[in-house]
Amino acid sequence: MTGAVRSPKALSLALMVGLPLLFVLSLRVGASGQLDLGSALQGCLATLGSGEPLAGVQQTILELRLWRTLTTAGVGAALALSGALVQGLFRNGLAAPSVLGVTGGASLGATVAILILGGAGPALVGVADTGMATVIVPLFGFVGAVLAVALIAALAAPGGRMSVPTLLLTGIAVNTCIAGLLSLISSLMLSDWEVSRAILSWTFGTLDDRTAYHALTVWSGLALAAVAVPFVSWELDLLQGGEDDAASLGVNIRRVRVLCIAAAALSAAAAVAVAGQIAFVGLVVPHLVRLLAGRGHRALLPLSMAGGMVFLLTLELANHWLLGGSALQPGVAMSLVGGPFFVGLLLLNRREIDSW
Amino acid sequence: MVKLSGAGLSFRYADGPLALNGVDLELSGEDVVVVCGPNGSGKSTLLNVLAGLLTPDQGSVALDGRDLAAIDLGERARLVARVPQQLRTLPDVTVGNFVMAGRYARIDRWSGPQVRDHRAVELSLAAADAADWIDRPMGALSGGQRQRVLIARALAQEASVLLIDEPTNALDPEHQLKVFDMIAGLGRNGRAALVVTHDLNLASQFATSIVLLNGGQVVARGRPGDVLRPEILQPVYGDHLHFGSLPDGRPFVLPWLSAGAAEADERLTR
Repeated sequence: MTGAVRSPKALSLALMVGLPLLFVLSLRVGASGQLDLGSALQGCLATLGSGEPLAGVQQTILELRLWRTLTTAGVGAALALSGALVQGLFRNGLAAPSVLGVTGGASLGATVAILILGGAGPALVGVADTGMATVIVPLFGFVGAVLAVALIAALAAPGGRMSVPTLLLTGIAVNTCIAGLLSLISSLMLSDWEVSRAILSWTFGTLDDRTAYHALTVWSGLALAAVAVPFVSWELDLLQGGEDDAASLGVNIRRVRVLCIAAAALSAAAAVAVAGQIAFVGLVVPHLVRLLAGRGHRALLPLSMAGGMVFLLTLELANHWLLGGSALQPGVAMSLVGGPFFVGLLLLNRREIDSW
Repeated sequence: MVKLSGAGLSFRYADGPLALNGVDLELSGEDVVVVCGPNGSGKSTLLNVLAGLLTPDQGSVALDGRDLAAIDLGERARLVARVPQQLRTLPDVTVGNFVMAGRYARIDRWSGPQVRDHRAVELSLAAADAADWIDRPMGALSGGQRQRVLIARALAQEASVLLIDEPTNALDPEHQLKVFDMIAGLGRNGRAALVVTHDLNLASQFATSIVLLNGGQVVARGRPGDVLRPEILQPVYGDHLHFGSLPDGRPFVLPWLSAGAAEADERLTR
């Protein structure tokens, strides 16, 4: 129980200042040397089709950083939004997008894509060109995520009525099945080094070598999901008192559920599809925002998006700055940083969290 | 004047006994109907069925003759308000914002609360004797204070019918009286109220009629003086009741372990 109601204004301001700074820093700093601010801006404009491109390899480096930065920001925002929606809907601070089957489904889809592209696949479907992997792996990941969510929703709500505990339990069951299938595929492919490596590295997540296609995919998913935000924000606040109470105030519970699950699935699927598995962002960022700005969803949902961008951009910057060329993959870095961070958060805010 | 009526209401929880068994009930205008009955007699189930939160297995609930299930949720919330005993979790908001939730079905999503909404919140809080708390966090209120804020939120809904679940459980005697006086005041202003309570004596003072439930059925209904009688209450609550009259002639009922008292007397005289 809290004695004070927090204001989201300070956090909004900090994020509004922090985000452009991080964005510019991400463009300027990287493994292949620094760019000055002017060149960074000139290169961005050139990418958009106006003005002179930077000399030689500089333009290519900048474009790579631009897509990586945009993808990173989009992935952070999408995962955090998804987490905030799921936690709000389930009234459970420990819920994450993965309970909906998004992560598992995307992994299975991506793994199937890797199988098709790797082993006997390319000859079979006529895509020997490795450039296709850029499109096909995220696409399969996205389709896998959407199918997994649809399966869980269909199993949990056969007659259109859906109870939250049933949904959570169904999610656990389906996720277990998916994990089994993934293990089966991995164990069958152990002898194929290329395919095993691709599957394994996908589970670590990656934000390097991202293209305009990746950035566009995650931002499209995020934008579509964000459309739901104004239709569920106040409703999620009212839901915290219980579904019966919200219904008696006039809240259409079924519509809120469908919108939240669809938006959470869409944004997380888009993120996982382009960046692989990056754990904890969806769990930790909404927690941080709640601690700093309170629990009202009208502030929590947009601030989680901005917070997710700042969080993942900062992590990636620190990762590349500290470790240079041997930077960790984001999924690995996130687990290493996010795990202890989350434990600390729980310990520091025991009283607060007990009341959620 | 809106009329809420339930006819032949039956309801069974999954794998449970019949919680409601053919209950008829009407509520309109100046009625303050108090629903009493032992634990598990179906009081709260009846309230939730009338609020449209539970769908009856048999029978139907109608609002001015229209089937409740067919009425849009927003319109239903503008006509019928429900005051729960307590909330699952306490929202992290100020009292004013909490009461504003009662305006949900009246506030446009895009333009937000208007002057009339803020006014309604202030008036509702004042009516619940809670105006001073408008800027306090909900978490800083005591159980009894929260109860009054829950009632204020229902008042802010400006509904014609209020369904109130055990409103005085957490209140001291002074505020029990205040809350029931407020509920009776709703009746005088043309808003009907149905109150579920165990407190037969508050019912005696403020109800226009009492509905006595037992085993999911209505076993008695009528004016307090007609229901709060030994021959009606003892078959339902057992024999340990003491009946008397308040100075204004209304009946009161106290739980009284008369047999135990007699034994104690016996031991003393031995």
